[in-house]
Amino acid sequence: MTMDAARQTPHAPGAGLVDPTKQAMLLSALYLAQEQAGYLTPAAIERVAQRLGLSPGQVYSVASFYSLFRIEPVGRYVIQVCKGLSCYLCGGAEKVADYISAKLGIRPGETTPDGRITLELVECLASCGTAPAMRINDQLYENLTLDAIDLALERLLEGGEHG
Amino acid sequence: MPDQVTLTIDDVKVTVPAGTLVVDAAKAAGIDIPVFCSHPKLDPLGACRMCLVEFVGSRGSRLDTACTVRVAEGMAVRTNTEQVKAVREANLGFILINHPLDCPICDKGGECPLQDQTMAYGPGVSQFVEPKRHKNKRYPISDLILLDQERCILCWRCIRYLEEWEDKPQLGLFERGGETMIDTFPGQPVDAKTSGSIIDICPVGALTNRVARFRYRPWELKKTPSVCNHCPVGCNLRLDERVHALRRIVARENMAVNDEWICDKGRFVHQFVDHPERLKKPLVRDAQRGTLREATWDEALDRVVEKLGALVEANGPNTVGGIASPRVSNEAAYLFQKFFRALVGTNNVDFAGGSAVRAWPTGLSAITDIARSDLIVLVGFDPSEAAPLLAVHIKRVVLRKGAKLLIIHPRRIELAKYPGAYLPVLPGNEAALLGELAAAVQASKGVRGQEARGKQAARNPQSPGPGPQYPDVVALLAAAKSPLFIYGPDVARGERGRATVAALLNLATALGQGDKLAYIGAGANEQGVRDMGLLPDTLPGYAPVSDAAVRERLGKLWGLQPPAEAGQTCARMIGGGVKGLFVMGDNLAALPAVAEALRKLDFLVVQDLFLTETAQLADVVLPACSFAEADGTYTNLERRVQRGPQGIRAVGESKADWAILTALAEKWLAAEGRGDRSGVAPAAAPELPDWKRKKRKAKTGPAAKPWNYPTAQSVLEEIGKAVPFYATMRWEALGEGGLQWSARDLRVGVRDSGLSNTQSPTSNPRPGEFLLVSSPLFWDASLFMQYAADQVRQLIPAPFVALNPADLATAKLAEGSQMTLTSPHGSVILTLKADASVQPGTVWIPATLPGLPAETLGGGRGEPISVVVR
Repeated sequence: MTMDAARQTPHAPGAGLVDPTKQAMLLSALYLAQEQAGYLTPAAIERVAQRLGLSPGQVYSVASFYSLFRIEPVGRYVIQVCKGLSCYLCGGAEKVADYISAKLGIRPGETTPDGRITLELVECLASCGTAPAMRINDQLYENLTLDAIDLALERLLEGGEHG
Repeated sequence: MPDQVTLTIDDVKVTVPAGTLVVDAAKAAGIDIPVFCSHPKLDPLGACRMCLVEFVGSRGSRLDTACTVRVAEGMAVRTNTEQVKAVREANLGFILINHPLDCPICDKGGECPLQDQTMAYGPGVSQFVEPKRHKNKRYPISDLILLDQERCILCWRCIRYLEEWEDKPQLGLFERGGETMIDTFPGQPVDAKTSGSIIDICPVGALTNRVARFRYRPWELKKTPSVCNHCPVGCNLRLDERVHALRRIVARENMAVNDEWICDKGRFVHQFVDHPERLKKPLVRDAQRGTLREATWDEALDRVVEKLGALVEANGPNTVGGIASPRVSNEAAYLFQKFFRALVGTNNVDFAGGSAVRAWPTGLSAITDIARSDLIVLVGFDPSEAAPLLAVHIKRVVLRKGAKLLIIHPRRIELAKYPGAYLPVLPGNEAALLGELAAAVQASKGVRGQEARGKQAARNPQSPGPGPQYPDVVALLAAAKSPLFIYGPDVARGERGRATVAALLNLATALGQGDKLAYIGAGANEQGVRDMGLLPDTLPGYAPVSDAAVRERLGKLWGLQPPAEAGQTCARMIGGGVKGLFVMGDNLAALPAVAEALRKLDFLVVQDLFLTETAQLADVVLPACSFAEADGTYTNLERRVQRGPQGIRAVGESKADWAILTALAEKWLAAEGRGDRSGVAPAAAPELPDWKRKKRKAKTGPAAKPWNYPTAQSVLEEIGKAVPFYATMRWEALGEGGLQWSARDLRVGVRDSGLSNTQSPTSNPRPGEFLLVSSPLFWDASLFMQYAADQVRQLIPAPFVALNPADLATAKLAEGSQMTLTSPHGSVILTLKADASVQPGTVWIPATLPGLPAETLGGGRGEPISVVVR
């Protein structure tokens, strides 16, 4: 087996590969791009990639990894129900999601016909200590009970405070 | 830090260079650590966790990944403990949670690392009763590669290959957790020219070859190590055969040539080998009907001997000639020129792109020199399209070692995005530009000298000398310690090519790097056919035909000496210089103008795989074998002679090129030596033609020696006698890695180098006119592409012409419209494309598009062609 120098030789500094400082701007850039249309359109992803010297695939890979970035259109309010292990053990994402589904008449991944509310299941929201948890837009709801869900949804349906 | 580090792996002491990864150190110690994501040619990642081993320290042991930890002095590693065993079992269990057990229909089954490691290290039973994840099992990531998302174990090898070697990060891991999968950005399939490499390195059957899938089971294949026949890099590959069909081609490692990668042409374009339309029997033109009909080998060869012989007898040997393809083996090329030189008695042998091109006879010093260069100067040569493995090597040295590129090309080629400089040049102006650069380099030397002496008048604004014109480029050239100057055939044709090569040599010499000049041809064995003397003015081994000593030496070997006067070039032979022509493996008549010229011949023999346009015009068609069906050697662009052994049974009655030529020569000699032809194909030649009787009577002095070549190897043996620097090139000695002949053995060099530039520069095109650029395109319509599998054939683009978007706007032309292009040589209708890589004032029509539009307009002749677009 010939040993290639590849494993020994790191990338030459500034030799034309991605610029690390630019790469570090990726998440911020995606947030800015997402504000434009509410989600990351393919055109937005390509634009970000072009500006940061990355390939669209690399940007898409990051955008699809984080549940805060959307690559498909969503409602004005997005309810994200955690389906991580802790939430599953503490009462279950299924229960929470089923309850919301029944109440709004949409399944996870769907948006209400008026385009206001989207329901989705997401991987861990990093709130395991206060499971079960969900998020509505930027606000986190912890230690969920059915009453707490009712309350949150009522506020939402009344006109909302979630921006 | 010591250079060598000693560590202990499972009580085995092993000493390896500092910086080695533990997984590689274990390999050196003969200990197998199972891996999936780790690959010797890719950067460490640590994604699959399969290589977890115990590192024993003062505070007990810890588990870590052997593929990311580098060795340290005194390190103690254990790979055979209960803990490691348990971890491997658990890890395989995790990997197999969602991996389908469709091994019986999986292409990888039988050569699958996951299968092997599950057998070797797996728990043997599954704990999982839950349903497996279901995903797309036939997801195309390109026209050539299918992804089975269920089989993928997310090792990132494909992603990393495209990032690290191709610098085309087109694959990524999308989503996360259990949803994670490999994918491309919508609408942007993988288009790297060596993309098929990711099939080879996939540790499971997730990536499959759309041309070869379901056509084999790995354990049934007969595997023959061979070399690629598509471009002059000569990548090492393996032919996988079963029941006389070529099932697939995979890469074979040769660190001196192709590392372990091959391009997509080498991998996917092989259906021509066992295509149903292959010629299976000789054909002769029926005297009554005028059409081609099947014949026996005897009849066909007798016809050739009779007709060519009659022409020679009636008009002299210089009225016949031979044109071969630069793809044929050394053996075929050698015997071809020997047939004409020693038997017919003419130097009329050439190949398209042969004598017309000013080739540097020693090619590239070595492919591995690319990795040692800090500046690569590419003149009129686009490796990405013409020789993708060179592009891979070049990108590697740019990305890993910070090498710079200086690109002089009429089109902003793909490599022009890398650090260095791109100098656009109008076709035909290369010599002038290189001359200016050489002068600027000289001037800058002078300037530096003057500055050293403290003089301030270095730059004189009154004289607009070339000095300050390209300060960045001159600085780039001056700073290079080990530059490499590479040029291709596009800038080396005709008189202008002569001037360009001379100017390039001047530039390299001005920098003190005269020996770093390299020519890279177009044909797969272009180096080899030149070595074999398949040129009208050059004998085997590059001696000019006027060299009496070499003629005498060859005369002793052949029995007859080759003539002393140079033969006709390819262009002259086609243009009416001969009455009888033998074409081996080249479809010259694909260009209608050439077909017209060939129709005027008295006699045309074509030896090829298919009934090409040229073969359709022939009087005799001889069915030849492809590179995969016959033993042969091929010499790549760094003078490496490599074996291409027979890997599949010959199709029909086709024969190896060298075997056909040997049979023909035997008949020729028999006809010359025997006054009586009875017993030899009486139907074809009932009477003894006059010329043979006369010839026999006239025969005095030395006679040609018999052609005694039972095998290709015996031809190679004679080549060793004819070509001094091939003396050690015996079949056995070549081995599986080939042998390079030393450039020092050749003292000829390019004759009359250092010529001053006598060509006037091309003037800027007039409004409405454009200069034609016809540099190559990877997926073109060359013959083998036309007979490739459907998946590959659909990659051949419809004929197009590309213009700079600014030119399109100025001329108010719309992309997609059909335009008529007219040059002094012809006229074509093409679809218009906008392409920013095309320089304003030029049109790019790639070479060898369907219908040969660029060639019809006169491209590839080595002169600037002005084109009117309407």
